[in-house]
Amino acid sequence: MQTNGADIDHAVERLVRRSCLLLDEERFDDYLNMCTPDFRYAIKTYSAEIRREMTWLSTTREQLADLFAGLPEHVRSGDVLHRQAVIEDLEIIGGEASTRASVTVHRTDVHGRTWLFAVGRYHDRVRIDGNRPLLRERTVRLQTRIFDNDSGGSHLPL
Amino acid sequence: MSRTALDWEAPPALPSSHYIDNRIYTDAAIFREEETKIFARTWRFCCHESELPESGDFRTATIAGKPIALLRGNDGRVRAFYNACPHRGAQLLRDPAGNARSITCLFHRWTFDIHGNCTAISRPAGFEHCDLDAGDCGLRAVRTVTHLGLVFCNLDDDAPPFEAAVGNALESVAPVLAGPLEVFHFHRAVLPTNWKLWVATNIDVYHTFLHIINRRTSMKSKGWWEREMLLYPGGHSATAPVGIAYKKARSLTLPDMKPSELRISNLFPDIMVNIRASVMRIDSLNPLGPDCVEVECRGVGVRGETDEDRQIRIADHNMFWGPFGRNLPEDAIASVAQMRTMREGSSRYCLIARDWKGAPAITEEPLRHYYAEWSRRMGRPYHDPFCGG
Repeated sequence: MQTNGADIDHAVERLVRRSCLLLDEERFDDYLNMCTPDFRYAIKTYSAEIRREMTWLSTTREQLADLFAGLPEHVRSGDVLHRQAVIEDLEIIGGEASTRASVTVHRTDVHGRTWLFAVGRYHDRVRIDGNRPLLRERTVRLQTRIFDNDSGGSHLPL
Repeated sequence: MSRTALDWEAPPALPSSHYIDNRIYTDAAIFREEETKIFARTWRFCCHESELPESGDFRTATIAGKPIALLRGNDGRVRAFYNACPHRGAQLLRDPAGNARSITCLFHRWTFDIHGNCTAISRPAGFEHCDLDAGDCGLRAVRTVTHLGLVFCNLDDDAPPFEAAVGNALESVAPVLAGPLEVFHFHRAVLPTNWKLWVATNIDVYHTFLHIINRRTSMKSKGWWEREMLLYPGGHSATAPVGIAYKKARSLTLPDMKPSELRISNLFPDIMVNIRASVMRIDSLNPLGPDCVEVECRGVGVRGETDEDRQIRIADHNMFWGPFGRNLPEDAIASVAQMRTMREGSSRYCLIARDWKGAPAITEEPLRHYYAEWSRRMGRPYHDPFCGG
């Protein structure tokens, strides 16, 4: 099937939105199926306190699968996370797209009360294979550096 | 058998040293008293010296609610001051860190050098009638000590010196701290819980049941349950070094550490140094109220190491202790869960009764030792803080 630029743009945007939905719904196998075998995921931020870049999570696809598999055994807060990404920039060169999306994450506790959890940006690299885009790399650059939820962080990636 | 209200309110049938009246965690008056009797009179960890490598580098901190500025002077010494202009009280340094050749107040442009001296008062002629002199307008100095790379401050000019207050309490981690180290990770969490509950979780080795990772590694390690707990005057404690049965052996270590080794030291009132083979975590607290605490967590590695080693160390750190790690969120959830029941008095006492009497068992002697120091400083027994009231 022939695809034009607009189709690819839409497919990449849909991929970013869907990645949020699948993590929100904790459909981890479906999330991993959206990723290439060499997928890399990281959460990074800059510390104004120690004046250096920090990596708070860095995983391969395999390590992420292990992390997901271990979740049922962890004591978790019960909060449900809601990720919302808005694409700000999208560039396609050859068989790869680079996107930047503003992301906000809200959390809702078991009683139904909602707070803002974190803000930042997704920096994604997407491999375009025919008309099917796959996440090859996601770096979450966080602006939020203090967490005030019950767990002071999250067992889940953002 | 479940208990009646009367039974529930009765002190446990244990030695009084073996339980805590939970009102020490919830009472607002006790918290205010802690600010003056503990936070303002003890040596508080503010930063690692690697956070201030150059002359003029500064860090800001908070001790007992007071804003503090720490600066490295031209002589290489780290000094601390109230971060407040003596003129009208405006906060002087507003960033968490940076470099300053001098400090100029945003409000009326009074200027101070990095040693705390007032060097310029704008339009000084207006003060001549009352003989106000810049030499008398320096910043309020705060006692500061750098020990094994850790920078401590004490607001109390009359408090015992650091060496007397801490003694040998850092002996098990000192050979590691003495290495060329630097902080590579810093994050904070604001938790709706009492600060002592966080400290107690750090001291409480028995709490490893909370973590699936520990149930699979630490608790299976030889010697885990027989670990010796080391107590030091002043409420400080440490756990004797122990080997951990990691699923995957650590490929690098910190100086003086074995590949599977764990060492923990706790300094009263709120500092924990926890070293897992390759990486060190330092916790300190900024208590904000009886049921709110800001936790500061640092990850420490070797200064000048290769990028490859640093990445391994960061990964080892994040696995357990990052905000997206496996263990740290669970510690937070547990201490918040405690506060939920204590806040309205539905749990009245905590038991700290474990002891080693012939059978291998992790003792809770370090917790009793910690709370004994709390009682001494507060003039209130932790098992009965209102003395029958």
